[in-house]
Amino acid sequence: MDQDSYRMLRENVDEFCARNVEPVSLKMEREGMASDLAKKSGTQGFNAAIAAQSNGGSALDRESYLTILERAARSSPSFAMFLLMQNSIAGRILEAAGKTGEIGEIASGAKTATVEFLSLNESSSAEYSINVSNGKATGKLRNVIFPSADLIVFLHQDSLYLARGSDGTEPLPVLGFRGLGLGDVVFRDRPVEKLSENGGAKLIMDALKNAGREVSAVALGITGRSVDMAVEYSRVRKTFGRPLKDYEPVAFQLAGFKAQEEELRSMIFFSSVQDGYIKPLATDLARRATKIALQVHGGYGYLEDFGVEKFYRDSMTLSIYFGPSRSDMRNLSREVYGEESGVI
Amino acid sequence: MDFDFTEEQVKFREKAREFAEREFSSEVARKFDREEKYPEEIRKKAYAEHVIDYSDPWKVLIAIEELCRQDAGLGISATVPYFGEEVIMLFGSDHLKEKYLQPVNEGKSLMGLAVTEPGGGSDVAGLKTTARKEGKNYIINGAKMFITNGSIADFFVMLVRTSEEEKRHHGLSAFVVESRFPGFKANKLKGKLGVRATDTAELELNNVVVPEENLIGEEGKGFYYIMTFFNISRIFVAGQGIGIAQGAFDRALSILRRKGKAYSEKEEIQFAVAEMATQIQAARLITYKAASYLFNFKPDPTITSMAKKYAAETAVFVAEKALEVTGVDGISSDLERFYRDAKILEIWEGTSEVEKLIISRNILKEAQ
Ligand SMILES: Cc1cc2nc3c(=O)[nH]c(=O)nc-3n(C[C@H](O)[C@H](O)[C@H](O)COP(=O)(O)OP(=O)(O)OC[C@H]3O[C@@H](n4cnc5c(N)ncnc54)[C@H](O)[C@@H]3O)c2cc1C
Repeated sequence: MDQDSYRMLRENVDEFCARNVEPVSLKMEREGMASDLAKKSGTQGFNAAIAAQSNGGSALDRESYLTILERAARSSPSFAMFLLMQNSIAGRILEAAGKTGEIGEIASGAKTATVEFLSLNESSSAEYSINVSNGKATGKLRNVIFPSADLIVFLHQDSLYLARGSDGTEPLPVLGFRGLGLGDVVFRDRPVEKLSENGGAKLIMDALKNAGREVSAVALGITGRSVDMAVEYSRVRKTFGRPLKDYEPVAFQLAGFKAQEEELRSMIFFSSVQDGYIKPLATDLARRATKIALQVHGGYGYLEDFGVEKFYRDSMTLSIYFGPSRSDMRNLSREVYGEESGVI
Repeated sequence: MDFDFTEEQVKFREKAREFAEREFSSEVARKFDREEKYPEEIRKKAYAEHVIDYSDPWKVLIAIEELCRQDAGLGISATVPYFGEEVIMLFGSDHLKEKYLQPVNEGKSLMGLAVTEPGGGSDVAGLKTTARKEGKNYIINGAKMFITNGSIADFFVMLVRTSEEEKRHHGLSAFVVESRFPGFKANKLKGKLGVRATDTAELELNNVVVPEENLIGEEGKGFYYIMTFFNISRIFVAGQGIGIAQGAFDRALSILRRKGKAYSEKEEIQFAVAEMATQIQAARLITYKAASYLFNFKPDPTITSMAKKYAAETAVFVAEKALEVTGVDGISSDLERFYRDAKILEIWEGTSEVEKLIISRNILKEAQ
């Protein structure tokens, strides 16, 4: 696509979010994502943005997909996370497993999907208590992002399975991406379909590894919007007779974040720098920027209504869910040193 | 220099900890956080069991620390019914002390401190709510914002403008304003990031008639009274910070222990543990130093502001590090609440930026 097409796409996503996401963003944080948003997003081709057209996807190039994620995260990181899950994680895995029918359902928003992947994170010690026999699953999946999704992909003894729905969910305290929620999923003799024999963990890990730029695009959107909100607020909020922007620490910090945001943008969109190098910078920037953005809003920043605190929660959650984890950093170290490093 | 608490204070700490562990279970803390409800029963119990003991300010600090260590929302709720009391104690008439402080000290009524307005909190001298003298009364008009205990307190120590002076802070006065006075309205603010068990409200004041005997001290001295108060209360906010930091650290350690050596003996984790522990220790030392000066009647506002700022930052830092080292296990546990709760400390009772202004102004003034 040429630059004009990317600009048009960006404007389209912004317009879609202004109309369909912004107005419900606070409600989504409190009550979870409504199913009609998935359908509306489906009509735009966002839910299966990178899936093949023959499977009902939009077959967009990576830059377009990254653009969608970044712009969506500016309105609602929960919505961006929904798209990331449908496309980069569940979509990739289901497409690789030849589940073209399901991709079609995801594309239209008729069905939503999730993949249980936090158990693969070395910081997770949740007991795995699923039993699968004769095509039926019983037990509990722990720490599932978006536990209410219609299609649930999970790992059992290194095989991947697909469950349609569940027999109940048990919500967990959830710091970020509240639109999707976090919880345990209960199965009782639930029919499941095997997607792959062995190598399931690797399939999930690969999907996560290949989503480094995508995670960075979400971090970029979170950074950009929270800093923009702080810049706007600091123009109008006065203390001691002067707008906040007139104070050096306020202006310098926010201007510095804008500079880093642009640097990150060019890395994500216009450089050949590997994903593994970008992600640590992106999630770190999002965490630092959102903390200051909240702080600049003073007491108002502490209230959900102002819409800035969610970025603070989501940036932290993004870095826990998607890293860089210690294993990401070990991979990066191996890359830098050309041999195993950072092992003690 | 003596770093030890008395035996009585050590025993009191155990008692406060035991109370918090018994009353603030994870389920209870999660419930109040979810429902954003003020824990009235817990407040009453804390009072009945003498967990708040004003006979010794160290005990107040210790209680705040231990209660917030278990849960900040509940801990602050239980220790904040007296918020603003020192203003009346130090500057109020005997009549005000008897009428208002006695029931608070008996656990029968609740109070709050109303300074911040929708238009500003850091710039206290810029406040706009006015009190106009009419006969033997003052008529108050305006609004207050983010007031802790706002929708549940029986009365407030309120800072308002009584005159326009060249030096803006010379025109401010402090009053006791009852919530049952006609024209007073409180709108509870819901949807806070953290400390959600605490009650926060916006106050509307529409021709509220306040008897002149409710003026605290002298007219025009309110700013000075409130600043004196902040130099006391900031030490207790620092105590909240130590409590939250310690509580997050406790939880991180217990998760790490559960994970076993292979995970927790990696150097990245070890270094993080050392950093958290060091910062908590340093925050505790500076807070106790500030407290020691104050409790011995030689307060040092510079050290007090340093303590408040540093303990607040420590709470945020430790909560964040605790999540980092515990990852998925931490974020799906009570630690996520500590992360949300901690951030308030960098905002209330003087933001970290305001503390920095105070610290540097004092130091630069001394250097001149
Ligand atoms: C849950 C909660 C409970 C509260 N309880 C009470 C209460 O009981 N009573 C009460 O009176 N208030 C209370 N507050 C209000 C609190 O004290 C104020 O929010 C705080 O003082 C900051 O004021 P503000 O929100 O108006 O921010 P502002 O003053 O508008 O400041 C906005 C940002 O700009 C920064 N800033 C301001 N001036 C400068 C400068 N010169 N240089 C650099 N940076 C600057 C600030 O540090 C802040 O980051 C509460 C607030 C909350 C959120």
